[in-house]
Amino acid sequence: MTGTFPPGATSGPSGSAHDAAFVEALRRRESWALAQMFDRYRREVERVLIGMLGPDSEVSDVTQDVFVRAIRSVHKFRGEAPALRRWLVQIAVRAAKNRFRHLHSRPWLRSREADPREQEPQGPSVSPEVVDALHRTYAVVSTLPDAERLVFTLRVLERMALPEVADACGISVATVKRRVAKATKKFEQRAARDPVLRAWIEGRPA
Amino acid sequence: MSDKLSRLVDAVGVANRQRAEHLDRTASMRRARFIAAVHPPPPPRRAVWWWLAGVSVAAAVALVLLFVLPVARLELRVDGEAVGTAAMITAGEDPVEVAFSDGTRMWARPGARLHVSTGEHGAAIALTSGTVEMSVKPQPDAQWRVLAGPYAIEVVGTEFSASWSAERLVVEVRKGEVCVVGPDVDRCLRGDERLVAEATTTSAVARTPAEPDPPIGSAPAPEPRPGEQEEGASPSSVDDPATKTSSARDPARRRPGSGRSSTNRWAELAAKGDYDAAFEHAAVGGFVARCRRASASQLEELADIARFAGKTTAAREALTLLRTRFPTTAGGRRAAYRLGRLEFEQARRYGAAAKWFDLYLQENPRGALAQAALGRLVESLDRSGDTAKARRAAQRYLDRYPRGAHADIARAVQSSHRAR
Repeated sequence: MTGTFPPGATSGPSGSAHDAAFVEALRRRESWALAQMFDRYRREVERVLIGMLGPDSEVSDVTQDVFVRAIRSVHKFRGEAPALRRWLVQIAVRAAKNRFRHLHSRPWLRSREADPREQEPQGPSVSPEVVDALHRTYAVVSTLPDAERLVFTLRVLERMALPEVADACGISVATVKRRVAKATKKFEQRAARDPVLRAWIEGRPA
Repeated sequence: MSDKLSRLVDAVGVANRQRAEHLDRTASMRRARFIAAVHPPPPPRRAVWWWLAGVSVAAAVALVLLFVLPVARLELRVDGEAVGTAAMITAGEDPVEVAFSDGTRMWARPGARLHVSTGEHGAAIALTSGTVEMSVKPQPDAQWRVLAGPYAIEVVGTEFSASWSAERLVVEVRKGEVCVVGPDVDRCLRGDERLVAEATTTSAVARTPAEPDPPIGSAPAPEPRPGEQEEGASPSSVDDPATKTSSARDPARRRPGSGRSSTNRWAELAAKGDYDAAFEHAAVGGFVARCRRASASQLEELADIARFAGKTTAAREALTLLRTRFPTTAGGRRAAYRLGRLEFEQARRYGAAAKWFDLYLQENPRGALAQAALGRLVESLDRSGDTAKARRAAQRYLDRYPRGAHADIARAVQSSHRAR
């Protein structure tokens, strides 16, 4: 039996002693630390992946892949626990890029059905019009070059701050700005060819 | 961001958030899968370069041996059927017995969900919810772990049970010793000891003399019935951490109405497999009224409780509400299949059953239950006397699942119709 929380530490995310013990426990792959990492950062990772990959993606599989990759390379992680979030988002961005490449080389996989338990991106509170707009939006997004697609989804669709997008993608803020501008222009032009998206953009009912 | 896009981006944001919330429902199962995938750690790297540098031939021999003599992992049999070295197990109405090739036995109580992955000298069991009982064969190098949420239970050779539900772990040891590690817990338990730990608090750990559940196969222990109020237990005392180490106020021994909401209580009882008591708790104040207030996932759980408790009418009401209130969710779509089974097995209205199975297949042509639904559709149409449709469904089944569980029935349907 190896390791546990230091005496007096809480199970919450605060406290540098706890954070150090947490990262150390992750390196030893102790189950409580693995569970905490998944619980703390899963939503953030999924939010980013959903934004980047769109409605037809297998986000749960990619999320699993992100966490497994993180643990397999946690010995390389040099930061403290608060930097884990940033690190995981960077891994998620790389995973999304790989996914784009994978789908480019195997286009037949795009129509593969996801896990039936996780197929429903929309519940009763999302109208069919919104669902339709979502699918059409990502259909246009998927025509953008990968580098532009990444920054467009993170900055425009997920509304992440510019420095955060730059950090996640490993590029400068200036490059993010330039790519977002190019991608937005292309998106607007291509979306205007779709009558439903044009109605959304022009602010009238589709 | 371009102002022109703001309306569209808002709509996409709403839909994406909804999807993220949907993914929350499967989070605990996925967490267990993740832990099972990376735990335990690989053995520490040895100083490979020592011998690589000196004896490259030895390395080549070692590599050959690695392929010729792969590490022998324990084999699994689930309810007597060999399944290899890993399995995802969901116990339905009956317990599931898992036998390991070293003589260790495990029973998943009804309703339990878990993933088992074996190693050379043991296995990692990721318990998503419910209760498992284990009888581990003592071995000097045994490596057995049960993972439940943030907790790990390590075992050498023992008999014990572990329950995980609503972020609460209960471990009861009958014989031998286990050690439990997790948030604020690092202790070993011996025979007739019991530990309760709640992951949502930092200090709510209780250790009490054991009152273990009866082993699988014996008569179930009587559960407190709704309305049996425990005198003197006020809601405030329940949440006081100071009281949680007292066996008299052990959360696991609380009775209905003593502080824990009945919502938690029926879910807990269901996780333990006591569907009769769970149904009675859920029915306090009206089962249908509770169903009308329930979320999609709760409603599906309530329908399951009613089904497993044998309350067909209540189950039908819950499933119908699930269809009408949450038609686009996975649960709402699965409800069509379950309604079909109710019509088929309980009411024996085969025409109605066929309509439900057909509807499930229309909505989920490649869903997880599609094979079963198509098989049931064949049977339902055959029993309802709709020979033409039964034959077409049988052909469809055989085309898709020539070795499926209903393949023999489908062939029989085809041949009997040819003979007519």
